Amino acid sequence: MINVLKVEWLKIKSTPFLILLFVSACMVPFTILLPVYFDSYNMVDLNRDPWSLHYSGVFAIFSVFIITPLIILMTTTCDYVDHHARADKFRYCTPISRREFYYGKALFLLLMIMVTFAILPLMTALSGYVVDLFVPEYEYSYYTPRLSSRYAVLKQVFIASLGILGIQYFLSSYFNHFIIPLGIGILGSIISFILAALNSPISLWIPYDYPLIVADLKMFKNDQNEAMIGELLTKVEVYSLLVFIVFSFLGWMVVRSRNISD
Amino acid sequence: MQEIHVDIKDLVFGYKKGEPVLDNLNMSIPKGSIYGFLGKNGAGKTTTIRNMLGLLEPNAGSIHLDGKAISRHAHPLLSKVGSLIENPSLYEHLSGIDNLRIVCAYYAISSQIIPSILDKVGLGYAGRLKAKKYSTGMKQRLGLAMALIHDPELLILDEPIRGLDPAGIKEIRQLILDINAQGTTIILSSHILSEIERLVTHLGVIENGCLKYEGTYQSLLQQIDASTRLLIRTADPKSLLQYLGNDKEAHIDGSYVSIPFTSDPDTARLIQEIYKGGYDLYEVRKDKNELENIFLGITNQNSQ
Repeated sequence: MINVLKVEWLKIKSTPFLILLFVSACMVPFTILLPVYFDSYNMVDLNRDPWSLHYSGVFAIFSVFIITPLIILMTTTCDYVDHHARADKFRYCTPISRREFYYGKALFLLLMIMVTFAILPLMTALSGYVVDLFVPEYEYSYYTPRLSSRYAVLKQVFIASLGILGIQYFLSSYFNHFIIPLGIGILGSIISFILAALNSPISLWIPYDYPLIVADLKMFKNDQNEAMIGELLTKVEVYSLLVFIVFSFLGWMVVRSRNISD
Repeated sequence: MQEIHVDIKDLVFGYKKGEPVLDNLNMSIPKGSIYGFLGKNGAGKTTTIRNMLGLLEPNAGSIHLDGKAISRHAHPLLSKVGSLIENPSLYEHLSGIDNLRIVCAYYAISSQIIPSILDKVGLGYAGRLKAKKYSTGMKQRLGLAMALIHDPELLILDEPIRGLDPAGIKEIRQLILDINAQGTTIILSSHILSEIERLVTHLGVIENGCLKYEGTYQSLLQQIDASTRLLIRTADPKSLLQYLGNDKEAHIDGSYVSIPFTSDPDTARLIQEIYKGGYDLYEVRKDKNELENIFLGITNQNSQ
């Protein structure tokens, strides 16, 4: 499995994959600098901890606009590299089993998405300190960003995103194509956005909606996301995990029985 | 008796039900041989190779490598096999070295071997270039390096000299002979006999998914000798044919009388006999059946 991870890392060199990862993790925190710069005195209440609003703003934009396209693009890019090279006819003749290749790549994608989630709060903190350089009255440097509590929030969004990863990985494996999984993913995210905006209960059946639901945005009522297993996981997180497991397994069934004929 | 490296028994495979591409194929590839696997385009060569490598699942039959079924022991067996099927699987956005690093990771071997393997296939100067900048011949060489990097016991090459220039073909032929000299069994698939006839020790000819001929290259050459005829041109071939009589299996072939060639002394005696008969001899020559014609003969037998 370690060798598969090593290979995946080598393969994504010189692809948009890493750029996607870093742009996604850095773009939102630093985009928030612009409204702060142009509308500084209305953005944050003075004499209050500015970090909560800063973080919730970044996380909201990230959950609504970034995470779903990011997962779709990362998954399709990672798979496309192999499809383009017609790699299966070579790598499946090596001592590494198809199972290792399949789950190794899934693990790699999971790790890369985790890295994105790990970088985001750090970049958000950095962007806060940059704001502090321009608008010291907000007192970003007086208060602490309290990263651990930010990661706890982000953990929920991460788990809620796994369903999308499972579906996209399955689609990429099934269609062995770049455009079709990308198209289905984009369609899914558009539908999810509309349903979430309407606060439709159908959202619970659309895994592309899960990150939006757990983001607990003020623009969406969030009564679908009740705590389910103690305080550990919410209903949506559990659904997302189930979707991830089921679709990952279905993808494996497709890969396992596939005849490599081209 | 020669040890068998690859043993295929009654292999049946079809992409669609009821349309077998391979129909009860049987093959025995001796250890240490260079086995030329010949057939027209679409005869089933690549499909056979993909079955051998576990890329396709046979509908029936068995494939054994070193006496072990590939279906049961795929991964340990595949660690001793190198392959290049049609166009090499290259990550074109990566350099030649990075492509080989990936292969090293597959086989869990040190990447320190990369410079020497690149030199071996004549790409030592281009390792840092991205594969997309390689010419077709360079890509083929890189594919060969990928197949060779783990020092396999069995090397399967499907059309290995495709895209190479004459100098490159010569180099790769020599490389194949060198690898074989170290004991590696090599399967060379091609639809052009002349590409591989100088290399092979054994031959298998496939047509419509069935093996039509299998044997040593030497025995095929003997068949060629057996089918060689002597062509004799005189002013009156019909009269010469009557003079020679039916026991010589003679017949008229254009302006020639054609009889089976047996040996050079027999030919000398025959010339004397004809001369004594009062015939003017214009030309006597051997009509050797070329390997290519034998190959076409084998494949055409089935088509008719």
